[in-house]
Amino acid sequence: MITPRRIDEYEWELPIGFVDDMKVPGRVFASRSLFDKALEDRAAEQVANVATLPGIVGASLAMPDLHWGYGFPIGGVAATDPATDGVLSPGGVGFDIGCGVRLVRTELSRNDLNERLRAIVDALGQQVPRGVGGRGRLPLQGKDIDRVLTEGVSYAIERGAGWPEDARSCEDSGTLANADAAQVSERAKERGLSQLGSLGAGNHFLEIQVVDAIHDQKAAESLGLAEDQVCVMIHSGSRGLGHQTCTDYLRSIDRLGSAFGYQPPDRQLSCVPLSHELASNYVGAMNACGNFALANRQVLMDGVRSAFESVFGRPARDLGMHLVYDVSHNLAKFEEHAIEGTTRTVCVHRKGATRAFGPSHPGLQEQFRSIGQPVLIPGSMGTASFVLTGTDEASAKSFSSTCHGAGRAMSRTKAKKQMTGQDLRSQLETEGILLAKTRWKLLSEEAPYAYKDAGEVVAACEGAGLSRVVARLRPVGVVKG
Amino acid sequence: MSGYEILEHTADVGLRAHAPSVTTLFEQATRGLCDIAGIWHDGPGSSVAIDVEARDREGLIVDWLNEVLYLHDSHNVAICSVEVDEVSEQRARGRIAVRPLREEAETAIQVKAVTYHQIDVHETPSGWSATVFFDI
Repeated sequence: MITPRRIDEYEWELPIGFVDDMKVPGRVFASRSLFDKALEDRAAEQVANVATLPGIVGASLAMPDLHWGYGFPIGGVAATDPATDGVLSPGGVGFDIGCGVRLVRTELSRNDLNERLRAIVDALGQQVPRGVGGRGRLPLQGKDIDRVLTEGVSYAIERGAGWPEDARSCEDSGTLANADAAQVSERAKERGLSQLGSLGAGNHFLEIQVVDAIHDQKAAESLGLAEDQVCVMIHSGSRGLGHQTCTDYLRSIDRLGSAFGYQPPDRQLSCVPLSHELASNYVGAMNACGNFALANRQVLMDGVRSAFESVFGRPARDLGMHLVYDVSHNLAKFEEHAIEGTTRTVCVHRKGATRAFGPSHPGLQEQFRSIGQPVLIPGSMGTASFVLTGTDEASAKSFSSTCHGAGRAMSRTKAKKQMTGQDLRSQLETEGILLAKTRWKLLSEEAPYAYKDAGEVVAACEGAGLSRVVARLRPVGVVKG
Repeated sequence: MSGYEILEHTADVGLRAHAPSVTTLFEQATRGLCDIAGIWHDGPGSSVAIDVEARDREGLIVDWLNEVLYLHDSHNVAICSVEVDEVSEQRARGRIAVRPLREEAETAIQVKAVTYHQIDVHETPSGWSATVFFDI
């Protein structure tokens, strides 16, 4: 068997032949210990499987938080070239299309919270619908859903959820172009109608955090971040609408079987050529779901502002509650990258990976040209989260991609066996982290020990040159989905 | 013998079901999915027909279970019973009974979708076996 090759401290190659029919090598950005974990849980094999996709260019990539997924590994990145019969694989985006993270800053410092922390955690718990069967804060009727799918954040703002300037602080300015609501099924829309402005369950959460370390003063200042500042992080996606859309397109593509002469090593890697009608329909639907996810986080943020207003008795504007940034980590995008010396437009699939344009990338929004694209990395519940920025170096190395989170290291069943939810709650509260009322029995599925250390993950990203660490935030209040 | 076991996965959850016939296999897989999601409730409910077509039995079981998830998520219901009438090479027909989600919501987990990852349905010397992974 062909074995992995270490290229440098934070880069590993899975040579062609690691699994059959690889068209390019696999490349994993990770420290030795993170890479060893990827080998143990079969994520490395999945990186190699992705390298069999027709038209894949460069290498099948994985970020340091990679772990075993379904088809693609979580943390996987693959660029396919329309000019060489490259394919689109909905599994390379995943079921939670457009899932992502946003960060809101405040002008409050840790001491301003003190005795109000319990009140604000509880207010957030009440303002933000969550869990299974949760109905969203912004109900939609009839054709409203098509406007959400087409307009994203700006629709939510028009409905009163947020401020006009919020949109420019989102990736793609809050609206993904080329969204086509007509390519989203009625079933998916039915699921989305009642869920706009709901957190969902599983690993989705909302956290009150305090900036506890600044690593890049210039970038932090540019983003309005300073030590001891209170922020709120939101992690959620496109809810049932996205899940249904991925399911719909996977089914349609699966029905084609191996019509294009490609037999995937895992059926979840089913794909169609980018030139196929199904691929263009999927892209329209995917962008529509991405807009729903953006609008969802916008409405959730509106709930966060309301909760702070009610507890502090001051308008959110007086509290300085500006949006720092919003990123998606499950999307495919057509982007320009330098490949083997020429600039080409390729379809970059990111499944649990974040776009991280460097300061010089032409796709970067004007206001970030001096620092690079902001990237938001949530830690596991009770551990630190990070703000990063993209590097120019990452364009050639990782199609301008970096990690998306800590990455799971332990199954949910094992995590639940280690500690009860109530014991975990007590432990977190001893550490000064308050939790909003939640379904305690399920809490330990998302325990910190079930995840890798996000600090180790972001250090590996910086070591590999994919992104730079700007700030670290530690949690003081958690509202779990 | 019919039954199912939960399979470990780093981030998600899998299921291996076995049964003497392919129709009872689909019923066991439905029970397993509802067990994982915490949305099973024994008792009476309104009957909803399920009728799916796919290119093979693996595609059928994915589609069948996705129908169950769709009904649960879009109508906010718990699943009370399942009856599968027919599973041929390319079609599965039957029904589930549902009732509004009540106390189950306190312990239900969100299963986002049924995946094709390592999907397998095959006949064994003693009946039928299926392996399915879910995105959580």
